[in-house]
Amino acid sequence: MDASQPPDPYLLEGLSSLGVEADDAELAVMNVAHATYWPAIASLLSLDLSAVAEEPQPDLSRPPR
Amino acid sequence: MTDLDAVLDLPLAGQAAAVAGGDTSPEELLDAALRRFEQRNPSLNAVVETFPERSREMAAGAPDGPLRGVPVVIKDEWPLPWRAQRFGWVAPPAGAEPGESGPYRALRDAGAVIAGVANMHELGSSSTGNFSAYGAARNPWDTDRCPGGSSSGPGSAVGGRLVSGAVGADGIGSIRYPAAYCGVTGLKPTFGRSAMRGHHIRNTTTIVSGPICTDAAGCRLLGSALFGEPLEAGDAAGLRIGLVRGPVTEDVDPEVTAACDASVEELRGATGGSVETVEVEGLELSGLGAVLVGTTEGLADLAPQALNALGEETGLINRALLKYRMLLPAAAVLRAHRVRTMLRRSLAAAFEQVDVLAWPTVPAPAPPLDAPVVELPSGFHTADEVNPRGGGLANLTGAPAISVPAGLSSGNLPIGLQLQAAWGRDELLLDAAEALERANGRRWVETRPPLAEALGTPD
Repeated sequence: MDASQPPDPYLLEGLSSLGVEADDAELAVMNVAHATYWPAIASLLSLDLSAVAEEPQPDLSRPPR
Repeated sequence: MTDLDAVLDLPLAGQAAAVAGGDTSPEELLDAALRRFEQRNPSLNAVVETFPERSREMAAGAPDGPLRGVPVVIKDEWPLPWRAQRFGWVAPPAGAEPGESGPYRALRDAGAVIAGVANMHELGSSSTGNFSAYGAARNPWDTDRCPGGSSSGPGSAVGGRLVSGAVGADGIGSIRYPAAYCGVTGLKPTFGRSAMRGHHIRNTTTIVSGPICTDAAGCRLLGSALFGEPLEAGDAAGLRIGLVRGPVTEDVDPEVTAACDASVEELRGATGGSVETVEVEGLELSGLGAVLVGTTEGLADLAPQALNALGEETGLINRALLKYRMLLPAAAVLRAHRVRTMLRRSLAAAFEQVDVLAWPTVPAPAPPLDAPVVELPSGFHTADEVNPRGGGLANLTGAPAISVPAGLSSGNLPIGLQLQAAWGRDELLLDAAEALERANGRRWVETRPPLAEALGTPD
């Protein structure tokens, strides 16, 4: 990912919606992070996890119930 | 007359024995440690603050505990009665204030002497340790290389033998990465077993305190203090070692693979155990899952106006990443929690077959500080992109893990092997680590970085 690429619209629109300001240098870093992580996040969003039964209030110090 | 420098070079248990046996006093050992800081720390920047009067008070009043008079350092993630944690940042983060944190009390009650605060990656946000408001800590094996993060200072301080034990914190591998990069041993405890009082991220489900020491016995000793209960030595005989297929074992620097394979075979031989391949369903999602859960747990304290107020006193990458986290879809974070559930179940199933899982702690040795990129069979990657895929599982599931020294690369950089066990079996990890040390003649825990040798010793 080239840091000089124009910022992804997702970043610009999301930041604008939240009222979060970002300068060009920050946008360039965010663009790289987005290019790195977004494909995996999109993949996670499309996974069918419906077969995974919930573990309500998991106790992380112990094996799952 | 006692050679205090020789005592300082001992592992934690040896230092405790030297004090208990009257070979030296807590005050003498502290002063020797502080002199060593003056000599070696300018090259490492591992220790960012000392407070000799406070430390001398601890030394003078040290109770007759298992760590009486032993100097240690504590990561800048924990409050002390005289100092709020800064989290590697320019100022204490929201919610941080001076106080008796759980790790502080554990150290004090065990008789340890806190000789300084150790550096960390700014806001705990990286596996590299290459950025901090104090300036980056440096790897004692090559000061142009990353010490690992976010417990960069503890790893560097122990690796450089400023001290033999340090308290770190591990949210997404943050104890194990520095242990691997700096050639020391680091235990990520089972979630909830180690002292956490005073941590400013009060709702964390991923972060634990834990020990970073020169050897496994040191982690057992310091870990017992942090756990508030003795981590009894057991027997790793017949250890069933599980290997997995996938990027954590296959997309790895060949030298790291060779060293870890050799260590696994030594461990199997030493314990009369077995090695078999197991499946951990969903393992490929563990890194992303840990990142999504771990990096969003502090978002409740972040508001747009606070983000807009961040100035250049905060590193550029952290300014950008804090803002980017606000854009992560809630659905992705919720799915990461579903992944956590899946992984907890698949991990529990794996531990019905084997006692420990083994794979490289990090896929490549420490990268350069100014360009933390590693070369793997799949190509070049930032260390932060690939380290969580092997380190995130323990944090996401709550299970314990340990990184043990497993060799040196051709570039004379440490290689770490990670062992993971079922919930509550932290003691087994220490047993296995000690068995491996015996099997290799303590070769890798005794080998010190050239810097620790070349800089000499205090007068």
